[in-house]
Amino acid sequence: MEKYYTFRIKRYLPDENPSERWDEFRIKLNSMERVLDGLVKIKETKDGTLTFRKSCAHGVCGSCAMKINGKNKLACQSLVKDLPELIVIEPLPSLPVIKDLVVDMTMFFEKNDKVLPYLINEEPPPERERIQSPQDQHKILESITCIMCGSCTTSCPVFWANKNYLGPSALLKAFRFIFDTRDRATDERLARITGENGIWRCHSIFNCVEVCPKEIDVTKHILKLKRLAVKKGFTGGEK
Amino acid sequence: MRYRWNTGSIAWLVHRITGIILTFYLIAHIYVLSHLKDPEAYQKIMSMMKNPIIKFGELVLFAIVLKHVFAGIRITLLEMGVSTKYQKQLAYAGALIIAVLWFVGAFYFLQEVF
Amino acid sequence: MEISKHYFDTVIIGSGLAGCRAAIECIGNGSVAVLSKLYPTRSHSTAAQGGIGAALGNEEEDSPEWHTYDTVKGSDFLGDQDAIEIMCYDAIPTIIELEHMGVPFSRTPEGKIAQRRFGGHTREFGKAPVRRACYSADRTGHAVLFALYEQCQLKGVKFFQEFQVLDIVVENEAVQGIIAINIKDGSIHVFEAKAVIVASGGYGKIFKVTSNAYASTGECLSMLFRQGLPLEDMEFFQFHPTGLYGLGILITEGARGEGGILINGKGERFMERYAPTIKDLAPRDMVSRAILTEIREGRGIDGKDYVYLDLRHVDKKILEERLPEITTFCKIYMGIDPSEAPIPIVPTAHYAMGGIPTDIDGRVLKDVDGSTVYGLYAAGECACVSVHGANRLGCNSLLDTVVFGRRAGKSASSNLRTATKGRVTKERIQIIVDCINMIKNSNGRESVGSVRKDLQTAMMDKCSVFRIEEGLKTLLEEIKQLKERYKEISIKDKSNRFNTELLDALELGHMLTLAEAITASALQRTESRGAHYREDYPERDDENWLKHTFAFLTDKGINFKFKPVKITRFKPEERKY
Repeated sequence: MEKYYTFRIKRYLPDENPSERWDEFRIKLNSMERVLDGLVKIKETKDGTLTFRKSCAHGVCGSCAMKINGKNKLACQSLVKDLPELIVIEPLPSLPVIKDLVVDMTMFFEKNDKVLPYLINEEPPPERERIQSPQDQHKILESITCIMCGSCTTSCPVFWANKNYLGPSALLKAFRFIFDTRDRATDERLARITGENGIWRCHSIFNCVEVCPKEIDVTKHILKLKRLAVKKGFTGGEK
Repeated sequence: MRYRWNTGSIAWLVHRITGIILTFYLIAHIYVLSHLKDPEAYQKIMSMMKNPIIKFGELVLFAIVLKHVFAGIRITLLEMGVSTKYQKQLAYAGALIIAVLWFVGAFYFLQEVF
Repeated sequence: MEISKHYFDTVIIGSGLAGCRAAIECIGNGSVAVLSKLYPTRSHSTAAQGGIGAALGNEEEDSPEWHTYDTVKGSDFLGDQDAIEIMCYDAIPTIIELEHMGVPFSRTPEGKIAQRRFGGHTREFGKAPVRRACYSADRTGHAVLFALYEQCQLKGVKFFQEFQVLDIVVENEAVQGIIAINIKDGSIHVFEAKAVIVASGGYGKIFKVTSNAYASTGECLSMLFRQGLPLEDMEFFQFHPTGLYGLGILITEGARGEGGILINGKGERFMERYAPTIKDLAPRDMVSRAILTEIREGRGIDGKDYVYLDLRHVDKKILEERLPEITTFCKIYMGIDPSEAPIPIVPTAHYAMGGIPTDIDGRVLKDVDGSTVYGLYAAGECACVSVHGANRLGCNSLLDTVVFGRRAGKSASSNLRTATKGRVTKERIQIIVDCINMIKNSNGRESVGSVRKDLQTAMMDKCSVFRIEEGLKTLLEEIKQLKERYKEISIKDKSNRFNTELLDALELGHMLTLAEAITASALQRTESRGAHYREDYPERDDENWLKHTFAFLTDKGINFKFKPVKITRFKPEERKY
């Protein structure tokens, strides 16, 4: 079943004057196609200058996060049949735009780097694998599914107002290692995330949870971090 | 296009706005109290309070206080470990309790007027 | 045009599993740069679902020897047995090392790495399926890639994100460096190096229905091929049996490992007829052929062109715990819950067994005699060691990337001391700049989209699971015409900043070259082996074809040479499951 959809897309082409504008494209898509298919079709047949990131096209790489009808989503996970006939597409909010729907994610990734995003364990490793019970592994199960698409952090009103806030994605990454029983750097990480731009900035607005394409309850993880920080006496960046 | 609202962000925004209003109210409240130097002044204020417009204002204030209190309770419960799965239900339940309390309160408030 | 020069001892192209693993090996020995046309964790390794194979024996008795046998047999005896043996024996320490690096594997009740069944992996040389695939739910690639990338960050590897390679410079029988474009601003960057490791992944985008990412276009293979270096076994391209109907999105073999079965329009479990011993867990080439045979003979669902993967009888808890990702895929894209409805599936282009020929240490071969290109290495899907031969077994690809990524990194590092610094000449850079300007200034009438679509459709129709001489010959003609049309290509986007239309155009040129190499290789191999099935030559022909194809691009077209298969322990036998 094919149907016509109107894609209203916010354009930003720095070489052109004016550099910002809204474009509308009318295209026919079938009920199995996704917003990303629509964008690809527009690029192939209507306007080759339309620019967006894409890669895996099934929601595992995190390239194509954008604001679709007022909400951050992966274009490859949004089926057009679930959307109204008019589809409004903008880049992710509150990050500098490079071109059209491509935003500069440097700031987003730098936040991630601040929480020591790697397993730290300097004890000599055993001959075989480190033992971890399934129950312990389940603690981080949700947090390891993060694909770092940036939907959560850029949907967070706290981040809109304060670009220094670590944001849900980086805090989730901190959780992933703090609650991994094999990691030994809990205190260093807690110190890094309990400063003035860390977990206490989270006001449980749940915008991140609403948008996460992997359905991670990010706020739940941040709240767990808050409870751990209190228990361990980290209230302002140090013990 | 404006970013779409949802239960969590509305609850958060209302919590903030009510908080700001209450802060201003508190300043006004303390200002008025600090001018109560003698019984006459007290009587004068008290009689002003019977004015229906002021009564209406008090009802609004009551709603704001209730909303702010329950928003605070919701966040505290979540922070203490109530499952975030129920964040929306908590917001709706809060709204329901607020409505009930407000009607009961309004009933007593307005009894004084009529 | 702005041109910047960089020098690194080792330059790695690609930040998937092979690239990251190689980087970890290299970082202690000189400077390392990793280039990726995406953000590193967006590499397509992240989409690998089912598992990574190693005979850990955590769930039941297993041995690397059985693993070796299965891989040899899975490869239809075209895999080089010395390399396979290295991979299967190295598998165990490699997986343990990954675990130590932080990969969040799923666990057994005792807390060891959990393992599950996978296609073609058996105990005691083919007696019964064995649990060999170590997994992290159905997000194994994602879990391993993140851990490796994180370790690279910890060790301070320098990543150049969103840099696309435009040329790999091989001159005077040695690698000199690479030329790349910074996608963000369109500036040209030259990286001179002592060693270059190509870990650029696969090229499934040549086919219409594929599980591969938009980024999997294989331009690095074509760059080397165009310089006269060979490509090995290009005719072998794996079609994964279970791709979502109409979309090609992968449904892991782990779904069958956990008990899923395939059923046709008559409701029969048809794999019982094709592989009586291990049924639905037969290797992928066999299952794909079986599915398409069922469809051709009118036994698709309601006579249509798909069959069902049935998971309804699998415990709901197992679906939730071990196959959450594919469960969501089915819900999002097909609107079905696999615990309540069967999943419509059809084979999807998945993995390239062929690629840049290398020896067991990742050194790129320049001829069938085993001579190598100085300083040039390759690992992962873009390389052909060959451990997968004519058909790769499930969960051996992740293993291949980490085992041979590590080996390539190691041998690149150990040669650094004696290696000379590469030099990229101005002329070489100018060729690339001219090429970009030519595309930008072209007034031709063809668009990237239409040529690409026609190529993908033609390859899917004539060079996928079933192949025949007539079809392949027509296909070669069609590719020739597409190449003519490619010359008439023009783009609307003339800007420097994030010009993906330009990059698409460049990629398309390379895809055409690769398509020709695949088709020509497929045409000349007059036998059926593994994933390469010729309807006009349906039998395996060990007498004439137990050898690797090396395709060379010459002025007169594509030439072929052959390299014998290394056979050590397991003599070719009939492949029955």
